[in-house]
Amino acid sequence: MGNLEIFRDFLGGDSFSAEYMRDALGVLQEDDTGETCGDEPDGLELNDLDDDDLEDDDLDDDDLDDDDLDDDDLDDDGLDDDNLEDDDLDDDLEDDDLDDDDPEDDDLDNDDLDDDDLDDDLDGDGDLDDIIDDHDFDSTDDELAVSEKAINDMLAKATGVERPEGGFSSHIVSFAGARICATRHGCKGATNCDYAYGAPDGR
Amino acid sequence: MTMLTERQTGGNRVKAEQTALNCDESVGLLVTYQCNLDCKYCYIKEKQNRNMTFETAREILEPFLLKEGTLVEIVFMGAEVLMAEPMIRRIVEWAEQGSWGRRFRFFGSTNGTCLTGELKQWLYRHRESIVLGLSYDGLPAVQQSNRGCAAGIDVDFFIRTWPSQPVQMTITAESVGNMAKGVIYLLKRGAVVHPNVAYEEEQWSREALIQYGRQLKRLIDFYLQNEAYPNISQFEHDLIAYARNLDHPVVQPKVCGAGSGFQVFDVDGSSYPCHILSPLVLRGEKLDGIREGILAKTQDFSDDSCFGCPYGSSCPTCLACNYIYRDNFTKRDRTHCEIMHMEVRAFIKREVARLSAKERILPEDALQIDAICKILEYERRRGRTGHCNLNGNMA
Repeated sequence: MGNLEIFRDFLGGDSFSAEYMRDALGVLQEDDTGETCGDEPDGLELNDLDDDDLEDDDLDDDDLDDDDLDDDDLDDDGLDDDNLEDDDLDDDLEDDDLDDDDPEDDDLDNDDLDDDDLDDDLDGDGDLDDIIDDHDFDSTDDELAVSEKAINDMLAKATGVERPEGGFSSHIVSFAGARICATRHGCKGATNCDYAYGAPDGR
Repeated sequence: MTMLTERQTGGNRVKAEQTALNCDESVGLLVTYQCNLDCKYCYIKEKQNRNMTFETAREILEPFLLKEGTLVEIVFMGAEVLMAEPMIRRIVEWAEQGSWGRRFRFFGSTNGTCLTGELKQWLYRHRESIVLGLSYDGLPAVQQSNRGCAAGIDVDFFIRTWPSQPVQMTITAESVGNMAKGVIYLLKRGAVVHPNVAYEEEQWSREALIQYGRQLKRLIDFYLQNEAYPNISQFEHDLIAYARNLDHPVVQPKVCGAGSGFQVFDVDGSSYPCHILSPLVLRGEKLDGIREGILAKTQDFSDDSCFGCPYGSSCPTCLACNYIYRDNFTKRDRTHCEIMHMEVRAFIKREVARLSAKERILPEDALQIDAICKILEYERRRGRTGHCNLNGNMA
């Protein structure tokens, strides 16, 4: 298999047609923003948003409720599913308007960052074991707890279902694709690191 | 090598039993020490004006390309790799024109700030030879706060040019409160997202960890209602393997290839185990230790404090950060440990919801349920599972 075939698969196979590529290239050729390293958009300085800007006394954790994640909210930013249509993406490439990334967008602005999020004790002087052990995970802030009812309902469904022969013992552990690398470091290609810096599926 | 099956990954979109186009060798080129940003979480404390020349890169790569094999992956590393854009373009075009013993692929991670229209055109034309992974921290406001630069980064270009390449999203204790929003924001833009938690140097506070749990819960809710979106690695766990590990404790594998199958060449052509264990990051005695081969002399990479932990078979660690911050390749940070446990619990919560909604439980589902119960019991003994009081048959 040649590089071209590998990347055809990587880029989505048949759906990524030659015509599509040609069109996109044509668009890209018109898409000369003239941006250079470190260039700033007009009216926005680096570090414009200092810590003070990111604190909002009026917001607490509860403000970040699920409603915030509704599609409607994101629609306002033009980030709804419609944006995933090919035609729309084509339009995006023809458009130098980078508003989607504008940190001053209304719905995704700095008000989303509340005090609790930004004022955490980051001095690192706490013993984490103590921190965790002191914390009552039975309290309502353990949102990862699974209810007894949910477990029992699930178990009831599994009652009488035959398990694969050998059970856990017959299971082959595969490291492929497993999350086994702390990858903010940009290392990639190390053995067993399919997710190192986000390796694409299938590599 | 095969990817995880759908069952193992809880029905996510990783292709079942997909045959991987795995590279058989990987080599890193430390192309530049320069960066145009100053990210809060960067592990490079002092940026320098050092760059690899085209001639050095060519001399390094030629033997790797001439060697017989299936695929060699050449990773541009930095600092910000596109600060070395002219050399990168030259070396990619040189490799494309050569006749080699194996196929090749270039990869680089970038903050995306150096893309010009002309460079985008070049990258698009050469996208079969070079993949760029964008590092972008979720919401633009968070990106701005973490890195001082959000506007002008053409996220869509990366999504469009390399649609399978995840966007790297770094989460800090400061920004964790916006993690779920950031992930959803990028997913809705069409990206595959790879959220990474930045810890190692400083332990996360209790509040930040609790917030991380809340964010995972929000993402569970999102995925339960939006199953078609690509999964994030936080929700990829082999629970059956973990359950098995409880009965048969595993020795932690050396999951990183630094120093054994992977090497990085510095700008002057000298070789190091990885870019962190190099002069890019290290100084003084620690750098001397690497030059003297201290990593190669290390045989056992397991952390004693992790003995008996069922997640050891897939728990991430960074040998280099262990060495930098804790003076030992094996000594993992505790925040890392707590986050791993939270992610397993979050995945279990999502799996319980998924399995409970199924009309028909298959044998492999039943085994997954047994595994869940076994792990929850283990977590309960550790005091982590809250009010879950199991009442059923344990495997």
